[in-house]
Amino acid sequence: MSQAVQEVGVLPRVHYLNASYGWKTWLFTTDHKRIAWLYLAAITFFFFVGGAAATLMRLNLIEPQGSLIEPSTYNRMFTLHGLVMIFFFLAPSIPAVLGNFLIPLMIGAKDVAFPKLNLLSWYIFMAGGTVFLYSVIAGGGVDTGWTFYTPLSSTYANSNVMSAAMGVFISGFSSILTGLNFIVTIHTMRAPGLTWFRLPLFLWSMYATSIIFILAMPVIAITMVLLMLERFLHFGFFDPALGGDPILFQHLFWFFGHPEVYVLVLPAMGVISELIATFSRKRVFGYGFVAFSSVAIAALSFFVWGHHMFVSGESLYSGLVFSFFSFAVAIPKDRFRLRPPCSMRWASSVFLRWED
Amino acid sequence: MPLEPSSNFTQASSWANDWETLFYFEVGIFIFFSVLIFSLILYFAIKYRRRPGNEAAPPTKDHLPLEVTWTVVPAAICVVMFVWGASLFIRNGLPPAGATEIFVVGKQWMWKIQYPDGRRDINELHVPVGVPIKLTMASEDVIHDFAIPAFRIKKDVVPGHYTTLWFTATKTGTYHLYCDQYCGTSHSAMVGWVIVMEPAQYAQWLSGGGGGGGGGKSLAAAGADLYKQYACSTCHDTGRGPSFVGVYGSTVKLTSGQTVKADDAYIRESILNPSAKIVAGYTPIMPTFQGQLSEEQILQLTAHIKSLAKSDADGRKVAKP
Repeated sequence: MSQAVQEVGVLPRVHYLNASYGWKTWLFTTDHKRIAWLYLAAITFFFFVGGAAATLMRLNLIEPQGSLIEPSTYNRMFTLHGLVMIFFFLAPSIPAVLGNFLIPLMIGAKDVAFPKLNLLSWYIFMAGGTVFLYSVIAGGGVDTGWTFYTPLSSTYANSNVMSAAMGVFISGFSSILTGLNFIVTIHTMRAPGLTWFRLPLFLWSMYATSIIFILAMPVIAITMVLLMLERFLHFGFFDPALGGDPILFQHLFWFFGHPEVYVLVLPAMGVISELIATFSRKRVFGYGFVAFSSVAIAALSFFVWGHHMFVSGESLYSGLVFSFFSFAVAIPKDRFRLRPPCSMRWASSVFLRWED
Repeated sequence: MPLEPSSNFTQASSWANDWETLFYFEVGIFIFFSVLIFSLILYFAIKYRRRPGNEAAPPTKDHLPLEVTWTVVPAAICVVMFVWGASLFIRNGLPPAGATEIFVVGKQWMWKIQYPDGRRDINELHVPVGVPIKLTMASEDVIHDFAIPAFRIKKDVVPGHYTTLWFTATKTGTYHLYCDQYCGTSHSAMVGWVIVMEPAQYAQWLSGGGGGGGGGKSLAAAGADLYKQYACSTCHDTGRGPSFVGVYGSTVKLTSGQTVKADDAYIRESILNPSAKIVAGYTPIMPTFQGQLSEEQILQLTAHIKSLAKSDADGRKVAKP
């Protein structure tokens, strides 16, 4: 305890009062808040790229014949929109921006556990994004749809699948490293007395998201490697003409793809929980149940991928089993949905205030 | 396209209404809970708004009965949805035994339809009203999806696999047919028509009364020609390879000691990848026909082998259909 008190008095060499603001201090920063800002700038850029693609699509649909862009361009636009929004905007949005910014602040730590690794995550993310954008600018884009279904992507597509898949492959490692960083930070760097069940719910949702990052992202990375090997070297994994099975690709893709859905929604649920707690000035109603629900959702999310394949010709029995698990994961999700009104009811002091 | 097409909202199959009842039941549940939650949020936010003297509330404890309630009630609703949905899903997945079989081959970007008697159609499926129809579907290139919204059914058409879809049309008319799985540049143009006819009209159409075009030969007869053309008989009628008489639908013993049911998928695999399953007592000497036979030709060969199952019960001599 006395050691902790002593440490409070020691200022780091660089802190917010004497920090400089040149571009180098941004590009070489290991400060979690600055890295959050770097992510914010990057995802905002990608948001506009994905948004521009969506705008072109919608403009093309103004009239039924769609004479603004060619069908092949239209297909590239919705693929670009899907891939950018999923891999380069939504997945890193709340975890990499708000997570990086808030996790150390919320647990009372100076920074995340591995600040340099944190910066490396951002560079890997940017490298993945650059390779992906190369496929768009130099290669004319990719027209497989965001799911890269084989054998369309591996054999039949004439667009730039290789560099798009490579971009997705690279950027996945950014999420893996971020997840690792968050898990270690939350485990080891909580302030004295900040036990697990005193953590803000946002941290529980970040913890659950990080688990999904380190379990699901390697699967999409492997899948992209197999896809590239088949497309470039004609290894027969997925194309039946080469001896492969296209359904195998769907199993691999959705084993990543469904947990990814929870990467997108769990952080948002965490944000809502935090807003309710803050503005009603008390702990969210049924805190423990919500905390467990976050982790339960993350765990169950790995057992439901087959519900993306009900019409793919998967067997009747696997369809039924995956349907059952999909309903099972709905129950912890309901715990989130019914939470806000009850929190407000028992809070009896909510943020709404008008002069009366 | 013969007639003004019906809207996709029309219920034109025996399955459509059952499916739609479940759909609206679920939509009803979602609307009920969405309205409930959002009105409560609004109501409590106003009722318990922050006022002087109400700046911070005393802490509250967890409320176990409430937690249990909103675990058990959604779980019960989920069980109802699951059982209801699963029973429909099972029904949709198991074609009735006597269903009329029609073959569908998808390729970028068209649908080829083959009727058992040899009639063919492009992007048009003709079916009689009130008769169960089973579609056996294959793809020559990428994954497609055969979807008829007015029937509320769809199924992927996957290269390397056979998938099946069945329905009983309940209303004559012309309905939209779509490819529902993005399959490349002209995916949006991979559309067609399902034409549901009175049985008499359908029989007349099948016998050459109208539409489509056909080689005149039944599927099995076309298959018998291929059987000769590719010299299958050199082995399969001489004892070097297994005979096909009575094979279709039977249980075949393999060298591995396992058994397999001789269905469409098994025959297809044995043509394209002959060494995958070797019949007991034979050696893996058959070459692959991958790349030499189209999915349509494989369907024709299968129809030929199927016809041998019934033709000849006593001898080993292959009876020509």
